[in-house]
Amino acid sequence: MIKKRGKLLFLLILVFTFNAWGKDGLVVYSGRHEKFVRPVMDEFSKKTGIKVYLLNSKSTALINRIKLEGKNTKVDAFISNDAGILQIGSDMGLFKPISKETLQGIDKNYRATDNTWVGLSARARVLVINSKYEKQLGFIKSVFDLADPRLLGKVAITDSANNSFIAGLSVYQALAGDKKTLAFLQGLKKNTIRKVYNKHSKIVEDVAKGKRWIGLVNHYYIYRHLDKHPKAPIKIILPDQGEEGMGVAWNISGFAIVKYTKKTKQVQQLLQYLLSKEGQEVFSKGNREYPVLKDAAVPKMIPKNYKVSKFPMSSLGKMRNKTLNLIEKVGLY
Amino acid sequence: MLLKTYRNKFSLSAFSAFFVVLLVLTPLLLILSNGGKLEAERWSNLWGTRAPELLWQTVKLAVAVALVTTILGVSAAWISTRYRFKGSGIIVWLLVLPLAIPTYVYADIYIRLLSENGWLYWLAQFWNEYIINSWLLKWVSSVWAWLTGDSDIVSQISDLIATCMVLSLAGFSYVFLLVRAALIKSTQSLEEAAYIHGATASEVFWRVNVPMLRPAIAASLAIVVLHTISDFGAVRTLQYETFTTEIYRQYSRNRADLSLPAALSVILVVMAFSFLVIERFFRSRQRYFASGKAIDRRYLKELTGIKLVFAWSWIGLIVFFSVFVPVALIVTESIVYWASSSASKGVWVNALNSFVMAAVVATVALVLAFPIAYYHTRKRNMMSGALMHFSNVGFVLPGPVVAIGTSVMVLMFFGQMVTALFLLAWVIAVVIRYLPLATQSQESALQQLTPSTEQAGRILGASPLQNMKRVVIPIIKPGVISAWVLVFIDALKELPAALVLGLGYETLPVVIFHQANEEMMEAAAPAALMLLIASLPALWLLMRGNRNQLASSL
Repeated sequence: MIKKRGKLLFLLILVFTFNAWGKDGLVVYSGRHEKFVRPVMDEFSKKTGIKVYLLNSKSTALINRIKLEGKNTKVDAFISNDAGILQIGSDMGLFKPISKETLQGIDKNYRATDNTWVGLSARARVLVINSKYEKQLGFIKSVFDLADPRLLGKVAITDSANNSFIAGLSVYQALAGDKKTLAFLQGLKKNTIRKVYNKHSKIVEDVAKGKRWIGLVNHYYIYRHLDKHPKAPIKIILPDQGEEGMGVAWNISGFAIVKYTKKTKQVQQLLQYLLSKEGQEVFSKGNREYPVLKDAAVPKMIPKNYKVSKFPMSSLGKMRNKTLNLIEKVGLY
Repeated sequence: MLLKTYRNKFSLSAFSAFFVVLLVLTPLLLILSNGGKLEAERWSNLWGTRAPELLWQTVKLAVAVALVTTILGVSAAWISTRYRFKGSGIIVWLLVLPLAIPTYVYADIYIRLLSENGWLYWLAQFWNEYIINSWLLKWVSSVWAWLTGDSDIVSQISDLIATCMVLSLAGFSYVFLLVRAALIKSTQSLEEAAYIHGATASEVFWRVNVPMLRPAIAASLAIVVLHTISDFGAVRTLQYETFTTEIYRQYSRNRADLSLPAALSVILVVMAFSFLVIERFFRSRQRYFASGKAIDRRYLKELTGIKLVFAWSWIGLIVFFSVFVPVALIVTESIVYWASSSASKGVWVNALNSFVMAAVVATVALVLAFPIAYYHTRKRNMMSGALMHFSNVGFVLPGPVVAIGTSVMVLMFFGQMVTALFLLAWVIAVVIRYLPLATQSQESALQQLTPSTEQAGRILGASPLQNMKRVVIPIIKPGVISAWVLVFIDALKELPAALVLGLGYETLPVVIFHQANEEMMEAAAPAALMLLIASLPALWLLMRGNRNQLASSL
C-alpha cells in the first residue's frame, strides 16, 4: 500500500512542477539578491502585464543549470552578479546577441565584445574602516596594504568563493602581476586569522563594532549599513588612487538573453526597460550601484569622480581561472 | 527443498541489496572518475594548506557535539524514564520537537538573539566580559600562544562552543529517543540482581546500565556525528570551517573540473567510515534478541521537593533553549509577518512541495533500505556488513557532492536533463543522503524478529512470501514506521540538494535559507513555522510507535 501511495505522490510532484511556472510569463534565473531585483521586475510587470518568475541561486550554479538543461530549458534570461560568469556563459554559447538599438547609450566597457551580455549596474571594490582606528590605518593607500603584518587579525574579507572577491582579485592580478598578487594573498591569509565572512554585510557589521579594523567590500554594503545605523563609526577608503595607483576595481551585475528562449520579444521588452532611464534609476537606487546608462542619475551618497582601474569587464571571464589557481595555491578559505 | 528455497530467498535479498548499494555508490564513483585525477602537486598543496586544519576543525566539532548531546540526551532520558513526577509525561513530547527544526534555523535564531537587539544579548555580554576576560582564559590563551605561536585560541574556543551548542540543541533528541527506548526496554531484574549481590548504586550504573545502554548511545551518536560532519546550513551560517563548507566552497567556485572537491570528499568519506567501523565494533559485540516478554512493571521513584525542582530545572533548561526560544521566536515573527504585509500564499505552495517531496523520499528510502537491512540481519557476514557500510555513503557525503554526483548519473543514463529528470535526480540524491537512517532502524527492527519465529512460520508451511507478509512485516512494522518518519523529517529539512537540483520547485528550507541569507529572517519565520507544523504529524507517529515500545528498535 505504501508503494502505491508513493507512486501517486510521485505523479503529483510531476504535475505540480509542470504547473509551477505558467506559460504566460518570463522565467529569469537570477544570481543577484532577490531584494535588489524584485522591485524593478514588479515595476516592469505593472507596466507591461508580463509576469516575471525569478529563480534565485548562485550565478555559478545557475549557469551550469542552463547548460545542463540545454534546449529543454524554460529559462528566458539570466542575471548575474559577475561579468566573469556572464562571459563564461557566453563562451559556452548559451546566449543570444543583444540588438544594437537596445544597447544605445551603454559604454563598451559594460558589455561583451560580441554583445551577448550587458551590464545593468556597476559596483566598486572599496575598503571600509572603523573610524576609531583611522590614525593607525593611515598608511593604507592600496588594496595590497591589507597584507601588511601590522594588520594581523584586523582584516575582514569574504569567502574566496565569493564572485565579487574573485573578480576584484582578477583585476589586481591582471594589473599588478602574478607574483605581487601571490605575495599579497599570502599576507592576507595570515591577517584574516582563519576567519572569513560569508557575507559582505557581516564584514561591515564587524568593522563597525571594532572587531576588525578594515574590510574589503563592495561599496554599497557600507551605505546599506549606514541606512540602518546612521551613526555607525565607519568610513570608506577608495584605494589605489593617484598618478601611480591602478584605480578601484569595478564589476557589473549583468543581463543575458538565453539562446533557447521562445519569447524573444518579451525578453527584449524587459531588457529595454531595464536599460531605460527609468529602469536604470529604479534598479540602481534599490541597490545603490552605479547605473550603466550615461543619462541615468547616480544614487546619492555613493562616491563619484575617482580613478577606476582600466580593466575591461569582458576580460574578467578569462582571468577567472588564473585567479582561482592563485587562490587555491595559497589555500584561502 | 526447504533449504533450497531459503538460499533462493537470501540470494534475492542479496541481489537487491547489491543493486541498491550500486545505485548509492554510483554518484560518488562518477564524481571521482569524472573529476579526473587530482595532480600530485595540487594534492600536496591541499595537504600543505588546508586539509590538516579542516580535519582538526571537523573532528573537534564532532567530538564536542557528541559529548554535549550525550550529556543532554542521556540525562533527559534517564530522568524521564526512571522517575515519576508532575509533568513527566510531557517531557517526551517537548524533547522530540527539536527534530522538526533545522540546524540552520537554530543558527540564524541564535545569531540574532545574541546580537545587540536580541533577547539573549545579556548572555553574549556575560560571555565577553566575564568568561573571555577571566584570568583562567587569559592564562590559557597566553600559554597556548607561547606554545604554538597562535594568539587566537579564545575566539576559536568561542566559535567551537557556539557551533557545538547549536548543533547539539538541534541534535540531542536522537540520543534522547534511542537511549530512552533502551531504558524502557531494559528489565529491572538485572539491576535488582546486581543489588542483591551487593553492588552499590554507582556500580550498578557503570556495570549494568552503561553496558546495556552502550549500543543505544553508539547508534545515536553515529547519527549525531554523521549529521555534524555533513551539516551544511548551520556551519555555513555560523562561519565555522569544516570539510563540508570547504567542499561547498570549492564547488561554488565552479571550475570545470571537480577534482578538488572530489579529493576533499574522499578524505571526508574515509574519516566518516573509520568512525562508523568503530561504532559498529562497539555494537557488534552486543546483539540482543528480545527475551520473550519483558517485565514491564518497573518501580518508578516518585520525585518530590528539592529533587523535583532539580529535575525540572535541568529539563527546563534544555527545553528552554532547544524548544521554547526558537519556537517562540518563530511563532511571534510569523504572526508579525502575516499581520503586517500582504502575506504570501507562496508559503503554502512551498509547504506542499516539501511535504510531497519528503513523503516520496521516505517511501523510496524505506523500500530500498529493506533488502540491505534484511540481508545483513540474517547473514551477518563480511559481505553483508560491507554492503551495510557502503549504503551509508550518502550520509557522510556532503549534500552538494551527492547532488552533483546524482545529476551526473541521471544525465549519463538519459543523455539529457529535463525538469522531470532533475526531479528524479533530486529524489535519488535525498534518498541516498538519508538511506542510512532507514537501513539502521530497519536493521534494529529486524533484530527483534528472532530467527526462530521466522523458522516457525516456515515449518508451519508458509511460503517465503507468505512468511514475509504474515510474520516478518507485522513484527517489524512499528520499526519500519519509525524509519519512515526519521527519513521524512530529515528530508523535509534537506537543504543542499534542494539548492542544487530543486529547479524552481522551492521547498521550505530553500525559502528559509534564501530569506535568512538576505537578512530577512522575519520572512523566513513563516516557512520555519510551516516546517515545524508539517513535522508534527510525523513526530506524533514516531512517538506513538515509541510508546508501543517497538520503535525502541530504532
